[in-house]
Amino acid sequence: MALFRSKTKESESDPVQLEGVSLRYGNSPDIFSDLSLTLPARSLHFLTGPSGAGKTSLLSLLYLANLPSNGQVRLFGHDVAKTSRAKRTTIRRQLGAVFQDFRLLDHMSVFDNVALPLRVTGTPETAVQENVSELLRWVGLEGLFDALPPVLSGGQKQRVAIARAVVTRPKLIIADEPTGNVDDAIAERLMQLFVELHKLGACVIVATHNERLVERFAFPRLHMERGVMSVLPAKSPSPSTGAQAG
Amino acid sequence: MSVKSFLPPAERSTMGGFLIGIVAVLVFISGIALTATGAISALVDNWNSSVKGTLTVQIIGSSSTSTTKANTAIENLRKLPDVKRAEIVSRDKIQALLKPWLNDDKLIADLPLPVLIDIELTSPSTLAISKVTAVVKSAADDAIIDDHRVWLNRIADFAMGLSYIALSLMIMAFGALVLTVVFATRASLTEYVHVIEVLHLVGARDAHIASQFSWRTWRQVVWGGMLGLLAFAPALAGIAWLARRIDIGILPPVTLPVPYWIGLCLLPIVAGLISYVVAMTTVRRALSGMV
Ligand SMILES: Nc1ncnc2c1ncn2[C@@H]1O[C@H](COP(=O)(O)OP(=O)(O)OP(=O)(O)O)[C@@H](O)[C@H]1O
Ligand SMILES: [Mg+2]
Repeated sequence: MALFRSKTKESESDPVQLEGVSLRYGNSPDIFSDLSLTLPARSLHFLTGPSGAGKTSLLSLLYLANLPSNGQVRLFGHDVAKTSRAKRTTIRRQLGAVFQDFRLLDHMSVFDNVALPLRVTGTPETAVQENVSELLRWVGLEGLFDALPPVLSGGQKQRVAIARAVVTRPKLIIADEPTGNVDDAIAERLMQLFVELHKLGACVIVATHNERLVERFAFPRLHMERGVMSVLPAKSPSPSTGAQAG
Repeated sequence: MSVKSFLPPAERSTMGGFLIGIVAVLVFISGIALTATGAISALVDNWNSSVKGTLTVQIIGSSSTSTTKANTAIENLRKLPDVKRAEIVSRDKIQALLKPWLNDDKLIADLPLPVLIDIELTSPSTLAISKVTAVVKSAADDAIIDDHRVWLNRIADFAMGLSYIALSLMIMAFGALVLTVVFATRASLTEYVHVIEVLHLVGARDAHIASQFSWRTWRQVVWGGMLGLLAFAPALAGIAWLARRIDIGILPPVTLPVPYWIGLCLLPIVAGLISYVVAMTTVRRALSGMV
C-alpha cells in the first residue's frame, strides 16, 4: 500500500517501555501495579481482558492522556512524566490512537476529522486531500466524505476513528476496541490494515473482546485480569518479535 | 485554506451569542458614560477658563464724569478684602472687542462707550456681591452691575460635581465591561472543552489551540462592541441635539473633546483585547490540566 511507505530512519528506542508502572484514579486503589512491558517496533499485540480490567486505562498511558501514578512510561525512549510539554506534543504526533469512544468532532465532516492530525502539523493541503481520500476509500467510507459524525452508524464512526489514527503513518498505533461495532467481515478488513502497518514497521496494540479475531490473526496477546498482566504467545507461529512482560 | 479553523461554527454557539449581546449592551452603557463625562468636563473647563468669579460694572454717561465715578468706586473697592482685583477696562480693549462686529475704526472711535470696571472676587459669595454692589452704587448710583457670571460660576461648580458622578459611572461601566468580558469569555469556552481535548490528543500545540479560541473570541467581542456603538450612535445624536438647544449665548458650546471620541472608537477594541487575553489564559489553563 503506497500510502504507508515505511519511514527510512527508524527510532533507535523501542516505541513502548513500561517499568514498574501503576495507575490509580484519585484515591481509589490501583487499577494495575508494577507493570513492566516492552513493545518493540514492527510488532502487533492484542490486549485482552474482562470489562473493567484496565485495558483503556493502560492504553491511556500510551496515548498520553494520563501519566502513571508510579513507575516509568517511556515512549520512543522518552520518560513521558519527565519530558517537556512540547516534547510530549511531538510524541503525540508520532502515535495514532483509536479511542474506545471515538472522540470525533461532531461539527466537522468525516473528511475533516480524518484530516485533523495532518492539518494540526501544517501538512500541505494537496497531501492532505490525497492521503485522506485514499484512506477513507480503504476503510469503505467513500461517499461519506462530507457527512457529519452524528449521522453515522457506530461502525462508520469507528472506521473514521481508525482512519484518523493512522493517517499520519504513526510509528505507534494504539487501538482501543477498534472493531467493536462492525461485522466480522469489516473487522477482518480493518485488522488487515493494522497488520499492514505493523509489517511496515509500526508498533501496534489492539485492545479487543473479539476472541475470534484474536484466533484468526496469529499475534501475541497481553491479557489483563485483576491488575495482573500475562503474555500469551500467538496461537500459531507469530510474525511478531513479541513482547516481554514482567 | 492556509489557517483553517478547527472550531465549531460560531453562529451555532449559544454562549458566543450571549457574549456578543452582553458586550454590545455594556459598550453602549460605557459609551454613554464616557460621553457624559467628556461633555460635562469639557463644559466645566470651558466655564472655568472664561469665568473666574468676575463681575462687570458699567457706568454710562459722558466719558469724564463716568471715569471719575469709576475711579472713586475702584478706590473703595480695593479696600474690600473680598475683591482680588478691580480695574477699568481700557478704551482700547473695548474698541478691540467691538472691532469684529463693527469693523469701522472711525465709527468705533466716535461711539459713546460706557466705562467698564472688571472686578475679580476672591470668592464669589452672595455677601461679597452685595458688598461690592453697595460700594459701586455709593460711587455711581446709575452703575449697572452684571453679576450673571458669578451665578454661572455656581452652575459650573454644580456641573463639576456632575462630572465626577459621570466619571464614577464611567469607571463602573468599564469595570462591568471588563468583568463581564472575563466571565462571558470563560463561559463561552466551557462548551468546547471536548474539542480542546481532541485537538490536544491529536498533537495540536497549546499555542495553536489557544490562538484559535482567542481569535474567535476577539472577533465576537469586537463585533459585539461595534453593535453596541452602532446602537449608541442615535443616543449620541440625541445628546448632541439637546446640547445644541441649550447652547444659547451665555453657555459655551458643548463639544466632546477629541480624546473622548478616540476613547469611544477604542471601546470595542479594548473589550476585544481583554477577551483575547482571557480566552488565551482560559484555554491555556484547560490545557495545563491535560497531560
Ligand atoms: N477516569 C476515570 N476515573 C476513575 N476511574 C476510572 C476512570 N476510567 C476508568 N476508571 C476505572 O478503572 C477501571 C478500569 O477501567 P477501564 O476503562 O480501563 O477498563 P477496560 O478494561 O477498558 O474495560 P472495557 O473492556 O469495558 O472497556 C474501572 O473500574 C473503571 O471504573
Ligand atoms: Mg476500555
